[in-house]
This record gives sequence, C-alpha cells and structure tokens, in this order.
Amino acid sequence: MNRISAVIRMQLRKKLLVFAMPWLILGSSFVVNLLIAMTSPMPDGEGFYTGGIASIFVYLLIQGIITPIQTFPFTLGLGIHRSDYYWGTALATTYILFLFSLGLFLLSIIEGTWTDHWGVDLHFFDLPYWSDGSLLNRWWNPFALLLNQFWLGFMISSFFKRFGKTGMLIATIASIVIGTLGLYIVSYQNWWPSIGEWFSNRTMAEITLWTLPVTFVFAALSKLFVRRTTL
Amino acid sequence: MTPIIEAKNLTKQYGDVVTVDRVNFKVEENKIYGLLGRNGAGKTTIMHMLTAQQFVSSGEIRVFGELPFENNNVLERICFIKESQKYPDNFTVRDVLDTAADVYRNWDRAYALSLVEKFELPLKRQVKKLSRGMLSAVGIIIGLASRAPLTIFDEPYLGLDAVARQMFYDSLLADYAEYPRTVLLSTHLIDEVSNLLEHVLLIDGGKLLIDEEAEALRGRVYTVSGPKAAVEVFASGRKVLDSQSLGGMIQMTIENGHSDELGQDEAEALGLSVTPVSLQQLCVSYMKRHTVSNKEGK
Repeated sequence: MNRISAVIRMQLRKKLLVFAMPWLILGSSFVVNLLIAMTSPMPDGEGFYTGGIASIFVYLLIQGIITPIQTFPFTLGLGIHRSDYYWGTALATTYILFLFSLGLFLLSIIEGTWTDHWGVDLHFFDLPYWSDGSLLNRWWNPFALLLNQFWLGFMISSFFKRFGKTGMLIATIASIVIGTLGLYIVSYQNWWPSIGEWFSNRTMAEITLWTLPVTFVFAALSKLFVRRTTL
Repeated sequence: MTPIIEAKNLTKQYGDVVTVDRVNFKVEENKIYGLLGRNGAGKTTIMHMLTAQQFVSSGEIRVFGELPFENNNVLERICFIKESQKYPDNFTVRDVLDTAADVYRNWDRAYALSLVEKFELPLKRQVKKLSRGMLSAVGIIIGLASRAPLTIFDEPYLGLDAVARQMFYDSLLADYAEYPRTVLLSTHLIDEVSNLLEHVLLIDGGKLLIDEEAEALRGRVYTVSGPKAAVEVFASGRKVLDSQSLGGMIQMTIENGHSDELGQDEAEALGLSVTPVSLQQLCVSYMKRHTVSNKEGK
C-alpha cells in the first residue's frame, strides 16, 4: 500500500480526537456566550459580539505543535520515510481544515441568515469585517487562517526536533531581538500610520490571502526541518 | 548476488566520540544474524544508520544494494523493531497494528491476531497504558507479522519474562522456517538465542570483533583446566583469550587457529579437562581481551 496514504489513514485514525475535540471546545465557548446573551441581553441594537471563535485557531496552533511530537517518531520507526510522513500529514490536515472551514462557513450562515443571530443578537460566527463581502469569504478566511496556525505550530515543533533546546533558545532570542528592532524602526520612521492605513484599506479576505505566502514559508521550512531530523 | 546489507568502513562519530569505528561486514539473504555486544557498543547506532534514522559520518552502508536515506525501495523492505519505539499517546494496540498493516506489504493480519492472543495483549488498551513487557510484545508482533525481507530486532524483549521470551524465539523460528527472510537480532541475552543464530557479529567499543558463522564458532573456543604447569605447557603457542587461576589450578580459555586444529583432543590426551564454551562465554572472553588490549594500547 502507498505509504502516503498509510500516513493519511494514521493521522485520521482517532476520529473523535481529530474531528470532535476542537468543536467541543468551540462549542462550549459558544454555549457559554449564548447563555450570557440569553440571560443578560444587551440594550436594543447593540448586539452581543464575542471573539470565542478564536479558540479553534489556537487549537490548531497547538495541534501543529503536537503533531510531529506524537506521530513523527512512530512513523519513522515503522520505516516510513520523512517526505511521505510530511506529505501524508499535510494532505490529512488540509482535508481536516477544509471540513472545519466548511463548518464555520455553515455556522456563520445559520447564525447570520437563518436564525437571526439565534434570536438574541449573538455574533459568534458571523462577525463584522470577518464575514464581510462575498459569502465565499466565510469559508476562505477561516480556511487560510487555520492552515496558517497549523503550519506555524508544525514549523516551531519540527524546528525544535531538528535543533533541540539550544537551537530553540537561540531562535527565540533572535526573533525577540529582530521583532524589537523591527518595532523600533517602524516607530522611529513613523511608519505606523501608513501601516494602519494599509490594513484598513484591505478587506479580511485580502489579508488572509496575504497569509498564504507566509503559510507557504512555514510549510516549506517544516519540510526542511523534518528532512534532517533524526531520533 | 548482492548482499542484503553491506557496510564499508562504516563510522559514526559525535564530536570526538567515535561510537562506530570503520566497521565492515556483509549480511546475506535468508539467515538469522546475531548482532552482539555490550550496551553502548554501537549496535543500536549501526541499526539506526541502516534504517536511515541516523546519518552516517563516514564510510557507507548499503541495504539491498542501495543507500537507505529517503529511499522507499529500501525502507519498504525493512521492519525495524527497537526497544525505544515511540507510539502516539492516544493509540490503542489495535490502532498501532492497523497502521502497521497499512505500512508493511507482507503483513499477515491473521497471524498478527494469533500472536496478540498468544502474548495476551489487550487490543483496546492505549499503548501508553501498557506494561513494559506488553509494550515489547507489541513490537515483537509487528516484527513477526510484517514478514519484511529484512527484519531487525533491537533488544525487543525488555520487561518480558522467560516464558514470553521463549515464546518469541519459538515464534520467530517457526515463522522463519515457513517464510524465510533475513533477520538481524541484537541482544545481550546471548545464551538464550545461541541456538537461533546462524551468523554472529560481535561489536565492542565500536569495532567489529567477530564476523563468523555460528557453527564455525562453536568448536573453536574451549576452556582447559588442570594443574598450572601442565596447562601452561599446553597453552604455549596457542591463543589464550582468558585465564583464571585458583591455588595451583588454572583455567584458560583457548581459541583454535582457523585451520582445523583440534586442540581439544590434544588437551584431553594430556589428561587436562576440557569444557566447551558457550557462545556467551566466548563473546565475553573476546570482549575482555579487547578491553585489555585497548587499555594497553593507550
């Protein structure tokens, strides 16, 4: 049997954990918000807005970090070579996240169009700016961002597996230094207004489109790290 | 015919520490090899290199005639069972076996399940909740049921009791008879597997000390004991691997030359008592000698 598909099947084997867990977390956040919106309604017209949807993105970041730790040594031990592991995992994840973003798409339509925000003016899935523009954006925005978070986590984790504690420490210090310097230069050159302007002139869908090259870099670096990792 | 494994000047070093030192050997098809040696002798490192889980520092290792790194042609034909194998935390025994079934082309599901029963493994239990012995049994089952053309076991019995270990040896031998393949078995329970092995590779301090057919080794080394003077006369001109004296008596471990010299008969003719040496004792005396000569060399 093809080894990439063996990896895909392995990644999807624990259905409950893979498919139900993030939605259970998102769901509990939703229920809490719904209860609050029902019991203490906002004054008319203000509506109840919440960022609870973020939990699924954080979950995928963590999932990205955990994935290579849990499954890479196992598959390498079974004699699956590194690039089959990589592609199998990438395909399985893309499939999972496609379904997840489809779910978020449906929920935002259920919330915004079919149930009139659950009758209590709760904005959990259908948010201003986030859900603006074409209906398709309600699928595209979460899809691109979920992928981005997963690969960010996977890159960090595979970097750690490749370069160990010292490498991680150096990379962390380096990114803090570069980040601080970057912020300093931006402030010093007074670029903030133009950066703010750039963002405010973009729709959410345009910004998530801009995460694609970033996600691609995360994924490419992950491949590089996985390829040179030993046990 | 190309050998299944061919190591040429195979070397692995971490900084200044050389764990495998210019090792040369060949492994032929459809035989059971024992890779013997102490802990830290370099056995696991060699096995990791031949499955591309670690990189070679210098020299070369070819498996099925090809370099193993990222080479599906090679990796698909190997099943490597090691003591330190990791499994995903939430996987049950069944999940692990199902994944192995997807990976190994010759996987025999019915045989795997019969082994699960034999070793009394709970299929639904999470792997991380298994006892050490059960965890070893999972590895053994994968190794046997994969029927991979090259099957490598790296000390697969940790935590298994004597009965279960015997079950492993018996199953291995029975299945090997029916489905011949090349087996590389790394162990330090040498006496337990000595009847199983057809060829012995002994590694010590990263160097290869023995590369011989097990049959040829069996008659070669023996101990001679008796009065000190008589034994010393007999031993002069012969290769002494080890000697222990007690009072006026001495016991020497002697190795016959490669020609068919029959030292045992001569010693018996001299009235000395001769005892055959088990494979384990043989390996121990080789390693002791190697350690001594290493120290003298420094």
